[in-house]
Amino acid sequence: MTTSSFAIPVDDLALARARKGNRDAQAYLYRSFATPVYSLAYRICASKADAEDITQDTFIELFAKLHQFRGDSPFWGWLRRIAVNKTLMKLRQRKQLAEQAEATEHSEAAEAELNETTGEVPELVQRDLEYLLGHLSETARLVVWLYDIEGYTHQEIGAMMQKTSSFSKSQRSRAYARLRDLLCKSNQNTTTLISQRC
Amino acid sequence: MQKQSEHDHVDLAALLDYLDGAGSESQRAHIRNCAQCLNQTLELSETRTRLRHLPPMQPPPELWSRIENELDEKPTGVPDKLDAWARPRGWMAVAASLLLVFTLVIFQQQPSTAPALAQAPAAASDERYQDLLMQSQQLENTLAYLNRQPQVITLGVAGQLDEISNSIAAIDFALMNSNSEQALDAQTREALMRERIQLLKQMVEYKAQPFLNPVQSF
Ligand SMILES: [Zn+2]
Repeated sequence: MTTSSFAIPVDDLALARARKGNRDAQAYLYRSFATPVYSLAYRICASKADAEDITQDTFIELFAKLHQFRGDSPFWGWLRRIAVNKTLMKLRQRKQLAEQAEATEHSEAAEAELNETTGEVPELVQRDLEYLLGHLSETARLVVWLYDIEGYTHQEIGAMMQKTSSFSKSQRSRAYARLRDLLCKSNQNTTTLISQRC
Repeated sequence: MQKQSEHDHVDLAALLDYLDGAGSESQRAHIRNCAQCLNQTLELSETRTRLRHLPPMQPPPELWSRIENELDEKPTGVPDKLDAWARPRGWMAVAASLLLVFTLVIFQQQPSTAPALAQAPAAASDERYQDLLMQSQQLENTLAYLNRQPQVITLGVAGQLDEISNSIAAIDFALMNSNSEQALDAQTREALMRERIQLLKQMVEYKAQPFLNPVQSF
């Protein structure tokens, strides 16, 4: 059983109409899937602006390519694949920008990385798992999200990133080790829902 | 077989394997019989469950009109592969990269061009591909290292790097899609990965230049 929030059945007639460019049918597909697409993008990128871009790009590409969908697999899996591709592209783009900025100044991305190594967690938001998720590296978040929530295999994730499946596996371990540390830190002064042993 | 003692706890990767119903039988037996490891596994499971129950995020209401505006700008029903992902960059660079990918794909699809590869058994080709993946990963590590060093890049070099990045992105796009229904054959996949490695090497060369020849950069 999948835990993916994409797993929504769609009306075949609406698909056929959207394929011909019918705006109402396109709007129906958007209403059905905008939330899972946006959520996936936001959870991985931890940025609303990027999640909006990814959602927009995903639906534009969906409508442009809908005639290629052959219907021999669930529609949601096909759409999800476009969303994941768009997210990976955005991450690559961000990496390039961060690298360019880093050459001249201390970029935001580098600061985030620094934050990760020192592991400072502001107290106000300590209990927020979502916030802690934002403290993982992009790669770690991507792997955890695609593996644990979307149900992709390590082999599939490795292939998407042009890496090996063991890369995906070790990134996931690192992510959980990091989450465990962060939850543990946040547990030292406050009572959280999760009582991690430290 | 060596028996795992109670003090010989399993690592986090093994606990995650346990959650996935994988891992070796000796590790699984240890976790079942060790209060500490079992407890840690339950904590990991709880974290995962909470991740799965994070509330869905709603896109801003105006996003649909932005999409509609973009749809209005382009002829509907016409596949426009380039445009959707070319927007952030120059279309010429992307077109050039796509041309490179398509050339490679077409070139590799002709059986006479690589008879040795075509006859190789699937397992050997997969092993070769894993090797290429490792090479690619090592080059990315080197690049990441170089990117962390303070450096001055001239405009010309920045342009070259940008072009190489675009070509890599185009290759990644083709490789990514190779996992879906329209699978690329092993030869093409391998050729694309080799091209990717070449491009990464070029990038490393560009980025390493200031360190090898520091006077030139000023
Ligand atoms: Zn143990």
